[in-house]
Formats: sequence, C-alpha cells, structure tokens
Amino acid sequence: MENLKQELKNFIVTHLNLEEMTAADIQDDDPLFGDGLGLDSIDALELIVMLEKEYNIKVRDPEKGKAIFQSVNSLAEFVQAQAE
Amino acid sequence: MDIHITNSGIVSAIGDNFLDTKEKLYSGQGGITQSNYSVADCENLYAGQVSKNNEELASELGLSSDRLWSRTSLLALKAGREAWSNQKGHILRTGLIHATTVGGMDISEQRYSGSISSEWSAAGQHSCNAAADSLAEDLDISDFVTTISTACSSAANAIMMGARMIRAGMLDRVLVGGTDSLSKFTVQGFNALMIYSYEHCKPFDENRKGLNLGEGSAFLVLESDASLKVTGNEPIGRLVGWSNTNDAFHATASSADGKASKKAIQEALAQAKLHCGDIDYINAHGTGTDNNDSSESHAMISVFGEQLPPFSSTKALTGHTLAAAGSIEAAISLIAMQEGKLIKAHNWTTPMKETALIPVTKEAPAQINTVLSNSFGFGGNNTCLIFSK
Amino acid sequence: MYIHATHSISRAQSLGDKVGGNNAALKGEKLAAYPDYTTYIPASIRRRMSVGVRMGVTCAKALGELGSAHSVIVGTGMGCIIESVNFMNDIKAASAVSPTSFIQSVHNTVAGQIAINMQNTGYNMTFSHGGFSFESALKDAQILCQEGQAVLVGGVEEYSETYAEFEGMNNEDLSEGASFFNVSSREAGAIAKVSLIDHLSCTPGGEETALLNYTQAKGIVAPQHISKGQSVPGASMGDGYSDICGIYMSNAAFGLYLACQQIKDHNSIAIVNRFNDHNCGLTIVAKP
Repeated sequence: MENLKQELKNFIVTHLNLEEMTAADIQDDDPLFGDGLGLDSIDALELIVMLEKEYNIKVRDPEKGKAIFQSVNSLAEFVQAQAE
Repeated sequence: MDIHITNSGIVSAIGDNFLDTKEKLYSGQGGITQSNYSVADCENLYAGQVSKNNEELASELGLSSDRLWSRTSLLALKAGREAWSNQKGHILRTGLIHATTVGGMDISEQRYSGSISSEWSAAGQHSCNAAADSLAEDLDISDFVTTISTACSSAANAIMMGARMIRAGMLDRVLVGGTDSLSKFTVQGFNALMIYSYEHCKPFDENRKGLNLGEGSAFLVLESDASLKVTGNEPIGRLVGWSNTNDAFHATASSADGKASKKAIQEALAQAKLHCGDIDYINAHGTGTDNNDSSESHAMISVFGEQLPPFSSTKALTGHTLAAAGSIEAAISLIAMQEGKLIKAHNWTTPMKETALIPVTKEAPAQINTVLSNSFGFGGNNTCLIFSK
Repeated sequence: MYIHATHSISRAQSLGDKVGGNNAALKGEKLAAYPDYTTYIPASIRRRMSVGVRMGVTCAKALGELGSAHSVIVGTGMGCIIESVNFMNDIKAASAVSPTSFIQSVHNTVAGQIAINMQNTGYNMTFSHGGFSFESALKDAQILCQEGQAVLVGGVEEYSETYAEFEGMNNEDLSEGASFFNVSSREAGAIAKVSLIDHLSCTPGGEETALLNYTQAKGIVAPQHISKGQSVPGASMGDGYSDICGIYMSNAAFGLYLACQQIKDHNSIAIVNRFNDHNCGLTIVAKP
C-alpha cells in the first residue's frame, strides 16, 4: 500500500504538472481539493485520465470522483479495491 | 448609421440553404441524429450532421478533385456563395470576416493518424485562415479578409466586427459568418470535459446531461446606407446592437451568477438604445450543459426580471455548431422575424428547479420585431447580438 | 493609435545596440528565451499553462494593470499548438485524452487567460488568420481606440517540432515568441504612433514598388525605413526582422516591437510582412 501511495503521489505531481512540489510534499491525508492542495474541477478530470492511463481504471461519474479524490489515502484504497 | 442585413446563407443539420432551413425549422423534426462519431463509453453519439458528404459538397461547388478540401472550407464556400449571391462586382470597400475553431482539423486528424495518404497535399488547409482565404478568392473579396477564433462566440464576434468596421468608415459592405465541421478532436475534447451528452441534448431542461455537437456554416451580408445605394439590395433585417465581455473566471466554465453574461446583454441593449421590453424573443446560447444553462438563466433573469421575453435554444435542432453557432443562430433569428413565429424549445420537458423558467413550448405566431441572440464561449468570451426588422 | 509601452519575449535576448547588427547567431534558434516566470505567475497557476499562455500572460503582467476601459486582443496563427499536438497524440494512441490539452487547443486561450490573470472583463478578441493574425488584431485595436478604449494587443506563437515536421517545415528558420503593446488614442506619453494598418498586394520582390505606389495613391509620405519580414516560410524577404525573431505566424508583432525601438532614428517605418505569395501585411509606425 505504501508503494502505491508513493506512486500515486508521483503521478499527481507529474500529471498535474505541480512544478514546485515533489511527492514528499503531499501528506497521505491532505485534502487534495479545496484548502489542501487546492486542486480544481479540471484537475479532477485530469486525475480521471491519470487513473485510466496508469491503472486502466475508468471513472465515468465525476460525482463519484469527488469521494475517490478526497486524499491520497482514499485514492489508494480505491485503486487497491479495483485491483482485487 | 444603420447596419443593414441584405442576405444570408446557411447550411446545417436542419437545412441545405436558407429557404430549406426556413421550411425545416418549424417541422418538429430537428437535425440531430446518431452519428458515426463514437467515444469509449458511447457509440454513435448524437450530433447535428450536414447530410451531404465532402464529395457531394465539392461536386456541388464545382471544385477540382485533385486537391484535398477540408470540410470546413467546403461548408464555408457553400454558405458563403449563397449569402453573396445578390452582390455584384461594385466598386465598394468590401471585406470578409470569417470565424472557425476547427479549421482544417477534420483532415489534419486523418493525416496525423495516417488514414489519409501523405501524397495528398493538404498544405495550408489546417490553419484557421484557409476557409476564409478560399472563400475570399472565390468571391473576389480582397479589401480586408480575416478570421476570428474565440470558440463558441466566434461567428457572433465576426458579425460584430463587420458592423464595427462599417461604422468606423473602413468598409462599405462585409460578408460575415462562421463555420465548423465535426471532428474526432472536438468530439473527444468535449467528452473529456464530461459535457457531451450521450442522449439527445435538452437545453434548459432539469434533466439535461450536456451538449451534442453539430456542424455547419452561415453568413450574413452587412451593408452600409451608402452600399445599399450602389447595390440596390433590399434589406432583410438590421443589426442594431452588439457587445462582447469576458468572464475572467475560468477557462471553460461560466461563473454561476452569470455576471459577465448579464453585462454582455445589458451592453448590447444599451448600444442598441433599447430597453428590456423591446426584445420580442431571445435565441439563447443554451448548449444543454449544466453550467451554461444555469449561468445563462441567471443572467437573463437578472437583466429582464418579470419582463423576460419568450426564449429558446435551437441547439437541440442543430447541435452546438461551435464557431458557426453565432451566425447559424443569426440566420435562424432572421427567419423567426420573417415568419413571425416563435421557435419551440425542441426536446424540452421539465423546467430547471433552480429557476422554474419555461422556454417557448408552442410555435405561436408572434410579433417578432427584435431578437436578442446570445453566444457564450470558452475562455469566458460572451457576445450578444440584437437583430431587428 | 498611440503605443505607450511594449514587452516582448523572443529568441533574441535583448536588443538595444544589437538592433541591425549581425544576428546570424540567432538563426536556427527555435525556442524563445523564456524569462523567469516565477516573478510573474505563481506555480499553482503556471502549471497548467502552455508555453504560449505563459509568454502572453507574462507580457500582459509586465505591462501593468488593465483599467476598466481596457480591452484585450490577441493575434495567433496556431494558438497553443503544443497542447493541440499532445491532444492529437492522445487520440492517435486511443488513450484517455487530456481535458487540459483540449481546453488550450482553443485559439482564444491566451486572451482568455490574460483576462483571468488580469481580472479584466472587457472586450476580448482573438484573430487567427495565418500570417496576418497580428495585423488583424492591430486593426481591431485601432477601431477600439476610435471607440474610446485602451487596448492590450499582442501576437503570440509557439514552436512545435512535431507540427513543423507534420507540415514539412523542418528546414525553415522557425521560432516562437510574444510581443504585446498598450495602445490608446491618447498622445501624451506615447513612444510611437501606428498611423496605418493594411495589406499590400504584391508578389515576392515587388514590395518596395508596391509600397511606393500605395503611398502615392493614398497621398501619404513614403516611410523612410522599410522593415521587412515574413511570417510564413517561403520566398525570402532578405535581411529583416524575421531573421532576428524567426519565422512564425504572428511575428509582425515583433516587427512592431522592433520598430518602436527604432522610430527615434526615422520619421516613419513601414513594417512589410509577407504572409502569402501575393500579399504582405503593412503597418506604418511614426514618431508620436
């Protein structure tokens, strides 16, 4: 799980082009949207693209996406669950 | 100084030309069908396609088959020639202001993926100016030729620019309009933004799920008083007001309160020296997306309040024709004025809970002297045009 | 129409005394000399911006606040071509497509981003007419100035190797850049005046004659200095501003930037920009 979280953090940084950040700057339970990392609705769509490109997981409903993208923790749990 | 409209040409999913469009606009059928365009989660997306294919268009236009024509150029030539048909080679300062977002992308994406042999020279067809250059050469217009590209408000901006150049004393007459053809690029793009509806779109409906794309081309001919004296053309309408504002909010979404759209409507009214009560019908932008229809509704309520005139979107008939929307809907607005009949909100059933607004539900005869046409695009670009008899 | 301030990003670092000197070293340089963007655009916003958007927004910010009577006009032939190509790659690979790439493929992205970053809600326009894109934008600015507006007007273009290959233009001296101008009808404090924007009908080699005939027909004094360039590959225009900035569709904006530096030495300058086989853009700049 730790490897997955690390991997996800790296993907977040590269896919969203977070230039002045590294994976180390993102805490597992930091809110990704709103006050935490400050991502927005377009970032949510880009994360959906990331899930499809990197993990072959398709998220069709942006509303469902909100819960998945709460934090790295929720994202990792979701990806893990899809693999099972 | 009046800006006279003396002719119009149009080709879209609901008509091959102006007269054909006039007949089909009120037929109740609409032009959106299940197309050959598919995305991962949905095959045969709903779209407003022009019925003729490229070979048919090229043949009808008498164009040589030894070169590749982008569909955008073909549609522009068809509608442009129709609009220009009552003009002659008079000594008048003449311009062409075209608008497109797709440009030659329909061929480029095929060349890029290798499905068109690179033997075909498509040089110069990709960039936005290709259609305008071809049309200008075809019609021998040379004093001022350019292309505007502001996404969904493009053609409306082209119409506005033409009017401003006449008013500034730079041109006597000008052919203005826009064209876009369907392409994988735009279909995939809107799907990636999750705003392409997998059902037939329903603008201003509570259960709307997004837009359907469309394609087409439409032009207006604008003439000054002085030009009319030379050409002897009879005006079919006037362009009396225009405005352009920017949301400065978000790259694609409009602000929820519709503030900048409200400003655009108010500025157009002010420019036309008209009051809310003077507008007989609003041809709304109404794409069928959650965001636009909500934002636009709030803008209309905010400006008109109790005096909100009958309104409808015609995009459930034509699809969202992107850059061409402003001119296709201008032609449709002219038709509404000529026919004296409101245009029904096609495929609409349920008012939006947040506004309870009800668009036109019956094609009742009405005194339509003045029409407001809205075009609100990506990049927060809002344009309003006001047409009058 | 008076120019009050300008800002340019190009492959030529800074010109100053080098203007008119030997610019051979610049030839073949495809990318612009990017400034330190951190000074102008915070990382959280910059991250999603394409090359063209960064250059355009930086120029806008460098030129200062936009008042409420301000409009924004951009001329760009290809828009954010890098992101458009990325999007086409995604489609070709049949992989999930990036919404950010799609959004930036719309040509008015730069003008829209300038509006967002400068919080300007006024008139906002984008002209995309090949090698005549910048002159078109300038023409609209001229009308706006007549209508009482102040305008931020500029030209922006990106270099994309993939696109250059796709169109078989690899051997050309292509580059990229952005040049912006604050203009209005106010004379006081102006650094230059744009007295005419039009086009010259002429074939390659016939520019000087065409210009002479044009100015005679219009009854205006022929400009002392002609600054020639080309915004598309094709017949060479000889030594000119496009040797300094490279060939790209909206490079007439750089030609204007250069003219603003040079106008102190001439009464007027004609910027002649060849944009196809039978036409050149013509912009005449005079002392304010």
